[in-house]
Order: sequence, then C-alpha cells, then structure tokens
Amino acid sequence: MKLRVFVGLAVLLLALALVACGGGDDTSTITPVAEATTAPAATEATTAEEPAATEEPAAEEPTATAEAVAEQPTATEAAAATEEPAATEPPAATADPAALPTQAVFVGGGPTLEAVRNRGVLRCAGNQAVPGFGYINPDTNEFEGFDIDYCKAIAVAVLGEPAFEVRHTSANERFPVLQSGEVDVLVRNTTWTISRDTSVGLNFAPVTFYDGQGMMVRTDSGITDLEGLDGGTICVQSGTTTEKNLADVFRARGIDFTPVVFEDADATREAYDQGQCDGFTTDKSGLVSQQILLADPTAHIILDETMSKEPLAPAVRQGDDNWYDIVKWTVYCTIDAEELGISSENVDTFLGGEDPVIQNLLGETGDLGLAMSLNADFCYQVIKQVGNYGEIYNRNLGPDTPFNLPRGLNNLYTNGGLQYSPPFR
Amino acid sequence: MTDLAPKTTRRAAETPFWRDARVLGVLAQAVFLAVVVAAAAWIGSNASQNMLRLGGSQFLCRDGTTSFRCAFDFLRLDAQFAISESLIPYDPSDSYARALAVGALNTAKVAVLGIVLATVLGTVTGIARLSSNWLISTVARWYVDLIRNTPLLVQLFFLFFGVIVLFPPIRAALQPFGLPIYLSQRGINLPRPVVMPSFGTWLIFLVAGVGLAAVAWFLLGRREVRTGQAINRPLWAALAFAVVAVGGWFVAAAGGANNQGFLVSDSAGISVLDDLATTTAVRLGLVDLDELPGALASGALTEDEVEQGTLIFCGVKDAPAEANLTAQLRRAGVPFAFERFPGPNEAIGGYVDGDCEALVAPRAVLMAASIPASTIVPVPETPLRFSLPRIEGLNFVGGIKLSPNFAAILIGLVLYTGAFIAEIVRAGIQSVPRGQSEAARALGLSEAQRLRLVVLPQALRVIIPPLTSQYLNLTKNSSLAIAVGFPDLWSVAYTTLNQSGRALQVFLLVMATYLAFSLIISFFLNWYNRRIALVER
Repeated sequence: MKLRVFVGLAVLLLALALVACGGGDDTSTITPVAEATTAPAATEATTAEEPAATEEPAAEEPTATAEAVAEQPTATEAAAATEEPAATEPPAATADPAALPTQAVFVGGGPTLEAVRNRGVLRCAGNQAVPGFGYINPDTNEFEGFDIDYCKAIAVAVLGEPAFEVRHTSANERFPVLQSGEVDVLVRNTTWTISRDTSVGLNFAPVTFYDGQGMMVRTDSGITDLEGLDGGTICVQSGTTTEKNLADVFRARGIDFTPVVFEDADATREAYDQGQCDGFTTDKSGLVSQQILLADPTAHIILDETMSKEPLAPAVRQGDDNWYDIVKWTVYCTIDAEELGISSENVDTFLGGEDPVIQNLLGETGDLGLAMSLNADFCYQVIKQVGNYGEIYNRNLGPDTPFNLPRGLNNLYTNGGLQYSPPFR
Repeated sequence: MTDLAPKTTRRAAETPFWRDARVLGVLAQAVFLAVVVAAAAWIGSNASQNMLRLGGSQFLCRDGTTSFRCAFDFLRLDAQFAISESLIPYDPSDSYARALAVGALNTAKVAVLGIVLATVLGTVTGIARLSSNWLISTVARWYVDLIRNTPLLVQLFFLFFGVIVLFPPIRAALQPFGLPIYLSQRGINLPRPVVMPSFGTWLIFLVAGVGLAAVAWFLLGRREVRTGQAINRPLWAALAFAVVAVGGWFVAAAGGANNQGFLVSDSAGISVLDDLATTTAVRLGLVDLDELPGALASGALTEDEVEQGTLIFCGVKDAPAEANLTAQLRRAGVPFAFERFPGPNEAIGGYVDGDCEALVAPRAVLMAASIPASTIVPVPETPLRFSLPRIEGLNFVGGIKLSPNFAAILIGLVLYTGAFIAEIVRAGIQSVPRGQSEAARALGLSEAQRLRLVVLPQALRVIIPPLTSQYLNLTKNSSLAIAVGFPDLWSVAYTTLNQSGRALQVFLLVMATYLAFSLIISFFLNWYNRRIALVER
C-alpha cells in the first residue's frame, strides 16, 4: 500500500513536470524553450531604447528619416535605426572605418532574423565532404569552402561578425533540418529545381555556382563518351538529383547501366576508386574536388559531356520573406561588389566616395539594409570580412587551389558568364 | 466476518482520500492518460504546424486541389531513378510505390536469407562452444566475443571496403576449379537455371517422382516397424525419385525438340545446327573448329579475327532461347556473339534491318514473323538450361549475380546475429539438466542422436523467445544496407524522400513496413513457441 502511494505521487510529479514542459514547447515549435524565454527580455530591451534613438537622429538628419518614412511608412524602426552614425556621418566613417558601430537598434524583421539575433549565431546546413565547397580542413579542423564562405557572409550581414555554426548534413538530411528549423539557411551545393522550390517548401537565393553533372571514368578503360558505359556499373550518391539525371539521360539514350547507390559521398568515391564501378557521377565541381582524393588522380578523366544543369544556390524555408531577402541580397552584394571592382582589400578606399551607386551598396547613403532590418552597412561588412564573389571563388576554387576550376559560366556577365546582380538602389 | 466489517469501515473513514489506495490508483491512471494525450497532442500539433508551413504542395491531389486525403498520392508519380537489383521487374518509369515495393522485397530477401543462415551459424557455433574439443570451443568463443563486441556498421564497412576489394578486378575474375563461377570485385557470378517451355512436362514427372518417393517411404516405414530391422529409407526414397525424374527429363526433351530454333538467311547454307560449326570454321579459314584453340594459341588467328568471323545472333534479352542456343554452341565449341533487344518485335526488326545474321527465338515466334528467304533451324531443347555468365563489354552477361553489396550486408548480418544466436543456443542447451544427457547415453544413443532427439527439443523451449528478438534485430539492422550500397527499403525510401520531399509520409510508410515485417516474424515464432511449449495441466 505504501509503495502504491509512493508510486502514485511519483507519477503525479513526473506528469506535472512533463505537462509543464509540453506547455512551454507548445508556444514555440521552432525555438528551444531556453531561447523562447530569453526572447521577451531582448525585445523589451530594444523597445526601451527605441524612443530615445528615434529623436536624436531625426533632428540631425531630417532628409534620411523622411526618406525612410516615405519608403516604409509602417516602420518606425527603420527610422529608429537610421541613427547609426555610419549612415549619417560619412566623414567620421572615412576617418576611422574600423570603428563603424555595428550595433543598431533592431526591431521587426521576420521570425528567422529574430531567432538568429537572439541566438547570436547563424546556423547553416553544410557539407563536410566536398573539398572546395564544404569540407573540414584536416590541418585546422575548421569548415572551409565556397559554400561555407557564403554562410559566413550571411552571418556577417546579419550579426556584423562571422558568428556561424555549420551543421554537417547528408544529402538527404539537408531538407528536413531546414524545414524543421534546426538550421536557418542551407548552403550545401544544392541544386535549384522546381520541385524543391515548390513541393519541398524551399526558397532559393541567387545561384552562387552554375554547375552540371559529369561522369568520371578510368583513363585505361578507353571510354570516351557516355555510350561507352553501356552495360556498366555506375557509382552514385543517394538523395541527390544526380541519381535521377543519370536515369533520365541514360534512358533517353538507351544506355543500359546498373547504379550502385551509397549514402555517403566518401563511400561512393571509395567504391569507384576500388573498382566496384566503371563510372562515377556527380556534379562536375564535385568530380574535380573528389578527383584529388582518389588514390591516383591522374588515372581518371572526366568526360566532356554534361548531363544536366545544376545551378547551386543557398536555400531558406518558405514563408519568411524578410529572411529570404536577406540571404538573396547578401549573395547579390558579393556579385555586385566584384562588378564594381570592390574587394575586401580596397573597400575602405571607396568609403566617402562620390559614386552614388557605390555609396548605396556600402550603405553610406540610403537605407537599403534597413528595409530588411539589417544594418545599413551590411554589404560593406560582407565585402570587408568575406570578400566579393571573385575573391570567394578564387580563395576556394581558383588557380591557387588544387582544383584550378575555370570560372566558365560563373564569370560575371560582363566577362561572358552568368553572374549578374540586380542594382543596389 | 461480522467482527471485521465494522473495523474496516472505521479504517476507511479514518483514511484521508490522498492516502486511499483506490483513489490514488485511479488518480495515477488519470494522470498517466493525461500525459499520454498531452504528448500525442504536442507531437501532432508540431507535425501539423510543420506541414502547414511546408504548404499544400505536400498534399497535392491529382485534380490540383489539396487535401490530407491525398498525402500519399505522390506514390503514383514516376520514380525516375534506377535500382541496381530487384526481385520484380522495375524500370525508372515505374511509380514510387513500385520502387518502394522493390526496396521492401530486397529487405525481405536479406531478412529471410539472413535469418536462415544466422540460425544455422548460430546453432552450430552454440553447440561448438560446448564442445569438449578445445580448439573448436576456443575458436567459437573468440568468434562470439569478437563479433558481439564490435559495432555492426564497422563490420559492414570492413567487409565491404576491407575484404571484397581484395578480390581481383572483373577482367581477372577468379574461376575456382574451372567451374563457370566467377569471383571478382563486382561480386560472384554463377550459372542460372533457365526454365524452358518443356519444363512443364518434366514438372509432372517430378511431382510423380515425389509421390512415388513418399509411397516408398511410407511402405518401408511400416516394414521397419513390422520387422524391427533398420532400412535406409532416405536412400530408397531418393532412388525412386531419381528414376522417375531422369526418365521424365528425356521424355520432356523429346517432346520439346521442336520448340526452339533460329532463323537464318537461305544463302548462309545452314539447315541443321551442326552446319553452323562448319560454316563458322570456313569463315575463320579453318578445316575444323577443333583447330580453333590451337590457332589462337599459335597466333595464327587473333581474338579480333574470331570476333569478325562469328555469326551474330539477334535475340531478346534474358530470354530462354538464348540460354538454350548458347548451351549447345558452347558444347560444340562454336564461337558466338549476341545482339540483345528488349522485346521480340525489336529483335525481329533488328534481324530484318541486318543488325545480325540470325534471329534466335521460340519456333512459334519465328513462324509468326514469316520472313521470306529464310530457314528455321531447330535447336534441341532440354527442360532446364543453364545460362552461364560471360564477360561482354564492361560487365558479365548471363547467369546470376550475387552483388558485392548484397554479399556484404548478408554476410555482415549473418556473422553479427549468428554470434548472438550462438549464445542463446548455448544457454538453451545448458538449461537442459545433465541427467537427460546421461540418460540418453545410458540408452545407447549416439552423440548426434542425443543432441537431435533429447537435448535440442528441450532446449528449444528456452531458445525460441530470445531468438525472436534476434530475428527482429536482424531484419531491422538490414537498414544499414545503404552504407554498403545495397538497395534495401531504407535506401530506396531515402531517395524517394529526397526526390518527392514528402518526409513525413515516407517515414510513416517505412515505419509501417518494418512494423509489418516485425509482426509477421513474431507471429510465426509465437505460434511455433506455443506449439513446442510443454503442455501443462
């Protein structure tokens, strides 16, 4: 009897505890409980600062405020944020660019932006197995690569500093972790397709890398085109568009093949390297970076044929337009900067210049960043801390890297490529 | 009784409700129910919120509307990816539903074979561990300890990337004892029995043979009981079966003599199969085909020249006609080449277009095609032909292939689960009292008889319940197949998930399928367990 009473009480307590937790979680499915509780405090703090901030700059810079109000009537916060000296006092900024205050008063913005600000860290879904794009540098144990740099750029645009975490994901995990809110943005050599854009519930930022699916074979096999692979075995990674493209292209050409599907990029490459397969297919950029990991990289060639269009782009969840804008314009910022010849090294020399286009881009005039609830100088910070598109490309894939991947389609449109940014104005 | 009644009432009146066991019991149950409901509601609302955020595209009906009813409609869409091995015909243009069925069948294949082999291995090892032979028991103990104490995934990777790679590449495949069996990195290629049309006739004889064997078994058993003399019943039954089966083989082959044939232009001068050898010999510039190996060895002829000179046959891919013809040609030592087509009409088209000089197919197809200026050459048939693997192009064609991926997952699971089963078997055997074994020896039973008739039947009662969970483990562990590239249910579902974006639906389907597998296994084992259980009164 005593025992039953005790057990009954224990269950009661446990139940109460569970209900309490459950109730807490119910209010916010995305953010963990701890963050949900800190959120109100942070919001309060910002609201408290707001009135004071609105007054001073409004008096000092009537034009800027007027502009802001005109463009975004509902957003008092836009006006509030204009107090930032960088935007209002160019001379001071030129004198000491490093002292640019990055702490603006943030109000509004979408739920993702708010969550990132409260957390103080951006969470990206990335790859760890594609050298050049996303991999862990064995010397430093840090994530490095083209995609990782874009994650960094978004973090800089939002937080003013490269505060980001990379969540390594497999090809299949990447959508669920984004959909469930575990990460804020997916920058993991992901191909932009209509089904992903619509039925998977993603929004794709501009293409950061134009790629196409290729095929690698052994040089001594004598295979020179896809038809030569008739009856062959082909290693392919699961959960990628690659699998479908392979089936589509080979079916259309009447080529018989057997796929061997692995979950992991390393396992796929290893199986090919050891002779389990006659061909190894993935995006050409991936083939180039996998090739240097093969036992004898020189014994393999990549066939000329391109089996698909693979525009690789960062992706965000549908339904948060503000966050989508932020990711989109962060990418455009790097492209536009390259077009204007602004790099991380010379960006400071452009500050306080005469060119209104550049002044807009760097946030010296206008409120381009503020309309997205970012700092006015978000693009300046991205260029300063991460670099322009060309710098990011060359750092990870350019001539000084083992890949030495030609720019090709990824050149600026002015150089015959496809990279083109809408204007910053 | 009358004494006690007032006492209890008084005590009940004294006990406050929070110390009343009945009230507390009800309360505890109510709270537990509330917790379960709350948890379910939380999970449900979380899922539905996520679903809403993803939008109606997840529940698209075929008429363009969205509704929860249509959550699984995507299964009818084209899968558009290829699967390396399948028990049922599958093509990338088939639906997701069929692709998932292929995966489920592959999982079932691994599970069924794995369970059978793991049981055999486990039983043998379990008995070996108890052996009085030091070497046998030590080896068994080492095997069990090593396998049980390392993770399965590590073992699978080791098997696949550490062992199978040691096999030679496909061009240098091992051929043990000159048999038509090839071991290479690409797997094991074995001959495949192909059922010919006359197999039906032979099947009748086979059934009759089984009947005769059963009758012999029964009659000899009665005689054994009557006379008390041991008779080798299996031998006699097998003999009865063999006589009928062999006789039936020839009868069926004679009946099907005209079933198969090939069509060849009149100008080729081939009217019976034997002419093919002479024609080929003439084309190669030889008097007799027997000289071919010598000519190749001496360098008088090159492989390329032989390839040029051989007759090319058009045929349907994987059709029995090809296996029938190649078996004959191989026996006669005639070199041959095949052009394979997906269907009979394409093959006929290929012959008419001149892709090849002869068309091989069942006689009925050749007659129906009615191509002028051609002769039909009959090819003798037997009820079964073996399709032998041979290298053509990049891979083997013909025969049956045990892929390295399948071998890795099967061997990995069998070794792993076998170690656990061995321990269960050992425990079961040790649970049988020693007196039983001593009594069996006293009766003069041999060691094998003692184990088979006395120990194992009693040990089974202890073995079956834990064995059930090992079978379930094996089935569920088969989902690691994706690590070694075998297309099991999870591997296919993974691709489906990625292509369709229907995470929740795919997960539900996968869970339901594994649940179904598990329920089937436990149903059978529970049934068997009840059957062998001690009858208690």
